[in-house]
Amino acid sequence: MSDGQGAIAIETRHAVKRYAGNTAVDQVSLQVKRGEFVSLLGPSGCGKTTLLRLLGGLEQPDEGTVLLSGKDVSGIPAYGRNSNMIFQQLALFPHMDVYNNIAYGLKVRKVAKEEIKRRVHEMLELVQLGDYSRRSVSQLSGGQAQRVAIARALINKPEVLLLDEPLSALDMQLRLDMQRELKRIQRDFGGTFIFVTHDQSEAMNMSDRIGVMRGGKLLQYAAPDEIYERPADSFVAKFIGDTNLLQVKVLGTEQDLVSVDCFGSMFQIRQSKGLAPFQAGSLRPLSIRYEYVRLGEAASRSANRFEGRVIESVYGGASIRYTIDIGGRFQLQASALYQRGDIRYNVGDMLHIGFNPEDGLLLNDDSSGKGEAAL
Amino acid sequence: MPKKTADFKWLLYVCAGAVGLYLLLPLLMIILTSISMGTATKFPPEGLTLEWYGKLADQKQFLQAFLNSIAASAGAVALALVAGTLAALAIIQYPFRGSGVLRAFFMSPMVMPKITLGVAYLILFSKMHIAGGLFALILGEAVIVFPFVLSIVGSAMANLNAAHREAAADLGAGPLRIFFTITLPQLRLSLLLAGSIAFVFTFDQVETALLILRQGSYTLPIQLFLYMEKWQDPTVAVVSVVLIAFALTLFWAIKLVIRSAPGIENLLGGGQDERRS
Repeated sequence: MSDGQGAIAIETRHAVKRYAGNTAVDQVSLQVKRGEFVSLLGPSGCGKTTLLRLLGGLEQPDEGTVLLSGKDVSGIPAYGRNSNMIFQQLALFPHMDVYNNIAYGLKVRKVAKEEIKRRVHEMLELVQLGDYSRRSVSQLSGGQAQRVAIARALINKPEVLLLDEPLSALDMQLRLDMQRELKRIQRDFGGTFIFVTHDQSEAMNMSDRIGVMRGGKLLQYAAPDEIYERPADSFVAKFIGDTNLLQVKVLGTEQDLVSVDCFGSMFQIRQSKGLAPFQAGSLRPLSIRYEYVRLGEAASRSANRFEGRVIESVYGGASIRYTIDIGGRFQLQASALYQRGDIRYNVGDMLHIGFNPEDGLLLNDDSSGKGEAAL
Repeated sequence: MPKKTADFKWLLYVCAGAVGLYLLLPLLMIILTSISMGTATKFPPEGLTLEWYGKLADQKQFLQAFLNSIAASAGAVALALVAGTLAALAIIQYPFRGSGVLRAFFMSPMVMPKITLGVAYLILFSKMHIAGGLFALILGEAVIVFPFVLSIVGSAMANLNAAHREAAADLGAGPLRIFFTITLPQLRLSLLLAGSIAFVFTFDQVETALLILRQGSYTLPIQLFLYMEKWQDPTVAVVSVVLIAFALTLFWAIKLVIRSAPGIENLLGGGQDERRS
């Protein structure tokens, strides 16, 4: 492992970081494989940036360890570690041109001039900024500055590249372009990338694995589809994708179908694998993704059926989002794919609604109230 | 609205002109006096001549005093720049318990009566057996201009983006290298500014110099002062005009330096650059 060729590029073990009584990072254990693209996702103040700074050596953990390629690097400052960071504000050196910004890491390492020149131009090619080496940093556009920051961080051939919300200042279109660009660079460069973001779609678009954080804790760390389909708790469910969260009472379990009571309606929910059986009488949050709520015709084939009245309809191009009132007892959000000519419901329409047992997800926590408050 | 402001523009010109005249009048009088005939400083002059400029060449003590002034000011400024930057570094980048108190203490020479400082230096430097020389003056003046450097460089340093230093550290640079390649280059303009202000300030410092210096190491202001006590001729005015010319040259030189270094103006403004980077 210590030869730097192990499968794990970087790892934290029970890392804790406190600031003035607040625990910014709370017992986080995270393993990132070599070549993986991992996103740390969470609302602002969840500790994701602090965790990234711990990984980069800009902060030192109060407890626990950080391992880079299997070697314990806790206590070693940033300049002694072979990981590089792209900062939220990019932090390009304003008194240097593009060339010198990118060359900085090599100059520090006292690489020969010719070699520096060759590698800087290699990097400029990689980020597709071939002719910009003599530009002043203040003359760059947002996307170009972004690329320079990437080139500057990659020139040292870091074992791990840490990215601290580098795209958050860009407008939507540029952001999507840069997401693709980052993935391409990662493919060409073949490195391990750890990307901090508060934007769930950004995380979904780019990551091999996502770590969802809240209040300094790593709530779930898994592949995007697993996080979406089997969120660890109601906070994760709400944060990744759109979902209805309903407080339900477990009535009993029959084979793998759980009967629950939801504001007076009886629903059947498929018991998810690997979860402990639910105790009858306990209260659970039930998650139903917007797109799993069937409407009209489609609802007639669903196992759980009921009626509701449309109270809001938001046209979103490819889909329409309805807010539906279920007999005054609770409300559901439903997102229906829409193509020209499809049925479109109007506000006030009564319609059949349904969902299948496998589309509802009973979550194993009772913090749904807290979860929503945090959003 | 634009019409209304245009109506009163003449008032602005009159006021600005009056203030300008008020500021320039003494200088104009000195220039006039320096080219007046006669052996006494008189106004209005009886006739115009450049003979006093010619005679200045014979007054070797003024050249010596001028060189003394330059040496003393340059020495004091250099000392203050190094010490002030280091002090700012400690206070701004590595804040510690009591760093605020230390800052206030470092700023105190600004409000201390110079004559008191002069007396104190006289006593101290006499004990150290260095009183009377330029070295003593340099030490004394450095303390007096130290606050200029600390406040100007300190505030520029506080405005520097800490992320630049972190980025440099992340790229493998140790603290010393970060200081010389990241922090210092971004302070160039503030150092130049602080240095110029401090230089101008020490150059015509009288109070402390008067007490510390002895015959032979007099600076220009002291020499002028002593000369005026004995003679009334326009030589003093001539020296003053030469000094004005010297100051203007210095001013333009600094302006040129600033203009020839592209982007350096942004660094002082800072704001725009910081957002971008």
